[in-house]
Amino acid sequence: MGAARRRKPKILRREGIRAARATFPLTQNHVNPARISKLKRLGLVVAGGTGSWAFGADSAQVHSIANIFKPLSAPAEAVYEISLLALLVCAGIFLVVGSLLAYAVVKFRSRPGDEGTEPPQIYGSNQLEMAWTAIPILIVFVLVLVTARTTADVQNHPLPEDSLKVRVVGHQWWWEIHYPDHGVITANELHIPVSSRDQRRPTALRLESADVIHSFWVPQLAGKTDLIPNRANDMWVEPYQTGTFLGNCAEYCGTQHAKMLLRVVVETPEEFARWIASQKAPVVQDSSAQAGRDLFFNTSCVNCHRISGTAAEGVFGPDLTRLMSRSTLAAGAASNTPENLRLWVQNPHTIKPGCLMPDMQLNPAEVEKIVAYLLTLK
Amino acid sequence: MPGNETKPSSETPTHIALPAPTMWPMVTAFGITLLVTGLVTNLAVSVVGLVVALVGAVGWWRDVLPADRHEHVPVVPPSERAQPVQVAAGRVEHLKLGQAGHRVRVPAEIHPYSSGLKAGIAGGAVMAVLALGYGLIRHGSLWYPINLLSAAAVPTLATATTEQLRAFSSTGLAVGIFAHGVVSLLVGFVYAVMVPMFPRRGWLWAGIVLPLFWTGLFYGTSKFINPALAGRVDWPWFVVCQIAFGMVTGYVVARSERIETRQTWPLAARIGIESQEERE
Amino acid sequence: MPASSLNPAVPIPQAAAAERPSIPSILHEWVTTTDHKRLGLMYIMAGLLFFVISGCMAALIRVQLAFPNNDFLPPQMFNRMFTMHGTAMVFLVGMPIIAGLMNYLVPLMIGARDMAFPRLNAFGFWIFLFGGGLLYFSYLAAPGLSGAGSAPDVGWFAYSPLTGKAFSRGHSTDYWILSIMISGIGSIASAINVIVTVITMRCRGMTLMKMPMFVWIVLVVAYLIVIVLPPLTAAQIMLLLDRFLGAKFFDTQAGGSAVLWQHFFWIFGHPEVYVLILPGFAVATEIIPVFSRKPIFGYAVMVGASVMIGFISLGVWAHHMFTIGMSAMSNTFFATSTMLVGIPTGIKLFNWLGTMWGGKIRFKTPMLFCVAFLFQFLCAGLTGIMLAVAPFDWQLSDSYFVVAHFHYVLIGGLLFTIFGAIYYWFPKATGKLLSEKLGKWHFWVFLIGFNLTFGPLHIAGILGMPRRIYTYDVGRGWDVWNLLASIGVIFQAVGILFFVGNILWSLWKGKKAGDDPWDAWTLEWSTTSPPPPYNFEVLPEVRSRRPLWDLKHPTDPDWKYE
Repeated sequence: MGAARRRKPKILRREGIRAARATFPLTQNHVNPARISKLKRLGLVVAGGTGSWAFGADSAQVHSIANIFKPLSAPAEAVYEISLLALLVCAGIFLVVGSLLAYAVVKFRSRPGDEGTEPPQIYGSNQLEMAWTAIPILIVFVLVLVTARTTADVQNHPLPEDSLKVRVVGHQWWWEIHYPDHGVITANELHIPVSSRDQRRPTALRLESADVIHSFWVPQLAGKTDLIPNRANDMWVEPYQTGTFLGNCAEYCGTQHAKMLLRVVVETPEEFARWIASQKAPVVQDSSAQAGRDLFFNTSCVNCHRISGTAAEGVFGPDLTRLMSRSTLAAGAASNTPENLRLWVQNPHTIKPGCLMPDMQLNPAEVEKIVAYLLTLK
Repeated sequence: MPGNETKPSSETPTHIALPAPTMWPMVTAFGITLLVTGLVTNLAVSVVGLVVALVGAVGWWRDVLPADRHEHVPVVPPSERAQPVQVAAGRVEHLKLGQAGHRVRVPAEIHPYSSGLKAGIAGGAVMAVLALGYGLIRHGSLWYPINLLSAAAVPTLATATTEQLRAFSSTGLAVGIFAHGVVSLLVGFVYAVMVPMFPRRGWLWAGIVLPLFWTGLFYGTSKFINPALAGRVDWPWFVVCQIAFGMVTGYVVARSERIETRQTWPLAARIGIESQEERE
Repeated sequence: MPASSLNPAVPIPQAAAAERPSIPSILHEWVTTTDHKRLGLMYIMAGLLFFVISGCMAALIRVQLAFPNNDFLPPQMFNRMFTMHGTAMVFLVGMPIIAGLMNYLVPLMIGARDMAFPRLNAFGFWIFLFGGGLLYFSYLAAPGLSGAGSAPDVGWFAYSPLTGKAFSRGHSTDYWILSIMISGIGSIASAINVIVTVITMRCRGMTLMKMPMFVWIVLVVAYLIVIVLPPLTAAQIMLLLDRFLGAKFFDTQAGGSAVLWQHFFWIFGHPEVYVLILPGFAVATEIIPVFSRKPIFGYAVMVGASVMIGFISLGVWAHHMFTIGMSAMSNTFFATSTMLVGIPTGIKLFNWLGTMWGGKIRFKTPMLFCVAFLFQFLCAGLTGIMLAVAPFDWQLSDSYFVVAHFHYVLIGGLLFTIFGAIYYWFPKATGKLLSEKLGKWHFWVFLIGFNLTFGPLHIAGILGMPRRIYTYDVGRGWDVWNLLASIGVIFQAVGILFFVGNILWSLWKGKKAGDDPWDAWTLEWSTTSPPPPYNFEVLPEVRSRRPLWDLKHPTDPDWKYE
């Protein structure tokens, strides 16, 4: 996508203006103008060769344009290769057939003086018809062979025993994320380690759903796989590059399908280990927010939300144990700033109309207390 | 004359019987709609719908039982009828094939399709022998070229080491024979229908140009189609195999006797009619 | 029709012909009619009415998506819009216009006086119309007893368990089920009618292989409808049982299966795509030869390809489900069968090309639409091959690429040929020619608008934009493409205005058409425009596929060579 690549810096530059026009300060992409040149350079690196294992890049880097033709992960790259083949084949056919059509339209148009004469009446040609049956069959046959290989290669790919295992459960309209081997639960932002040439670190994802069908799609990491209630699906990713990758729920799942965004944070193994450790560390009680804490546990917040190590053990809403370690709120609907958090607690429906978290009818003082407590959940 | 639309008006009837207009199908449809609407509104709607649908159905039955109700529509006067189709004033151009039947399917003579299949088998066999020879000479293994071919479809072979590729693989053998067979037959078939289309020097087209053309296509896409093969292929050998295939297939097709297609025959000849001979 | 003098005959009010009929009497005539031509026209007019309504919905959708973070439509209203747009376009626009064309043309083309079951035909039309009304009635009434919801908002393929009682309260989904179900009765009635008519009522001399290609293709379509609508109806009844009586077919919380619905739906849904596009082929196969002045290239192969498309399309449904986690083997199977459909489709494209090749192509408006159809359908077919490659589909499925692809099929393919058909047969149905000048404006403006809307959406999909989102954030690279698409809608709307204006103006002041304005070859052009109620004074007899060619060129008749 050469055109898209050339346009990229322009779009990013315009972003500031657009963001100002937006209804809410939802700038979830932490891209500032200073980073543009870096992004551009990176874009060129990526374009120069997929599988350029640009190890150790900035892990805060947001890959905000999820171009499926710029894969940065093993399964996405396998898909990319067959996609390119299919694209080439189709482009070839388009050129041949399209130019024949154009030629026929121009060459055989009726000209002045043609009135009253009919062209030779030709009924067909078995030879030609056979030829343009057999040649497409040949093309299809080749595509089928490659499809068979790639499909089996991606779907039945053997992963190393020690690869990271993550369970993702889709909810209307957020993602619940479990690291069963580490005992960590989080939401909406998936942290995984980056793979390198000498040490593969793929992540196996087990996909389930708590309510309706959702679909896990981070285009630069892998093709999409659905999260279907009553059924567990498996997929895997193996990113080559650090940074934050954006994705969406790709199966229509109700009112707020549009704001069921996914962020996958790919980190160096050290960063990832640190992140796991910080998530596992016991929650520190911050006495300054005691009033908010009491209020939180006395309202029905606890029915839906979970805060590890406390009485809050709800399962219907996202885990809040390390809420402030996440960069967005409400599955990417807004960036995680105190102002947005206040707006959200006041009435979630201003940010995400129709979402399943009810308006708790708190008065401003109560909102302040709750927010103050939530801000301590680092 | 073909078609009798132009028959004189004395033979046209004065009235034509057509089904009579009726509202009952609409009433029945409306009743059924109300019937289901009741499910989402009020049961009373369903009850009304059921009644309406039944009334409509009874009305409909009475339309057709014991006999269809008709109306006799008067035929419009001749002045308002369609004009008889006029013979076109213009001229029809004809293909010039230097033979009597001027409107024909082209071409009139073809290589039998079976010759294409035979040629495909022959070409495929020669190519296979060459490829196996390459495997034996260069890699000391019959299975090597077969496995390489199958690597297009079999993921385990696609990622296998050269050593593994030299070993026997039943999947590789099955897929290889299947793939090679299908492609050989299809290309042979295409040769049979296309060889006559080439301008002069059919051998050059069939034996050199086409094999080089698809080798070029494959060269450009081999990375995607078959990465295992792309990484190991010995291009001179590959080209030799393709040319051998093209030569043999083209030769077998060209040697086959052309047969006349029956499409130029008159219908009487095609259905093998028996009759008196026409006398001039 | 067997006319026996024993049967009761309704006397014809002779006075009606003499004086100008009053409006109620005209209305009464149309409402009670069993005439296939009037029913056909009513189907098409109703279809066009629904087309305008759901087209407006599409325009609103595009307004909402023109800019990132737009709040022109609230989320739920947006979701209802795209659900109603999709549902109506498939079931209330595509199907009835196709049924209308079949109804109007099949008896005329095969030299019959009416369809085999004229009253069933009327029933089919009315139940479709009432069903369509019921769907829109949901906007007013769907709150139902529990007070939630309005029009359906579950998407046109209504995946379970989103349609279950737990996630879709109120009656909006029930409206979707019931209205589609009873419209389906109309489609089945229509299809059975076409099959019986074509099999039993062809005029003398018209063997199956001498039928016009249009009739052949709609015969295949009619068979497809009869085969594939029952699975949909069955699934809808199961869903009704779930929703009303607490059955558990699709209720995943009680152990039901979400995937079961998808299988049922797509066993219907994919052949449905062919039900919609094959009539487009049928129209193109009539128009292209006439305006190229040559017979269709490879008639027998075209017939074979149509039948093959019908068969193969029954075995490809799960390519809509490559992302649900089927085994690699199943994915490969359905990828293969899907690519196989491309082969007969390709044959058709080549045969149209062969038909134009060496002809003397007259670029009247109907032909313009068909030429655009060829190019656009080529694009649609090729993106279809890409989607058939299962791994590619893991990326593209449910993205805007798919949206662009099937709009290229349904607008670029079907709608363009429907416009072509209307320009081509309007003179036959009304006796007036449509204005060529307005027609060309309509064509070019709509062509630009369509490609401007749906071309860029391919790229939005490649950049990871999922379908059915009511808004998107800045910085994902989607803004430009969406804005372009929305600008295209303006052109499309203007094009449609030209079309509507053309119809009204031409009805009022159009040139008289005469019996055979295009110098065409099939039987419908041998009768008057508009045809009398009985179509032909004397039923014709044919000896070739182009009976009128035979009459026009007695020295070069087709029947000598077929």
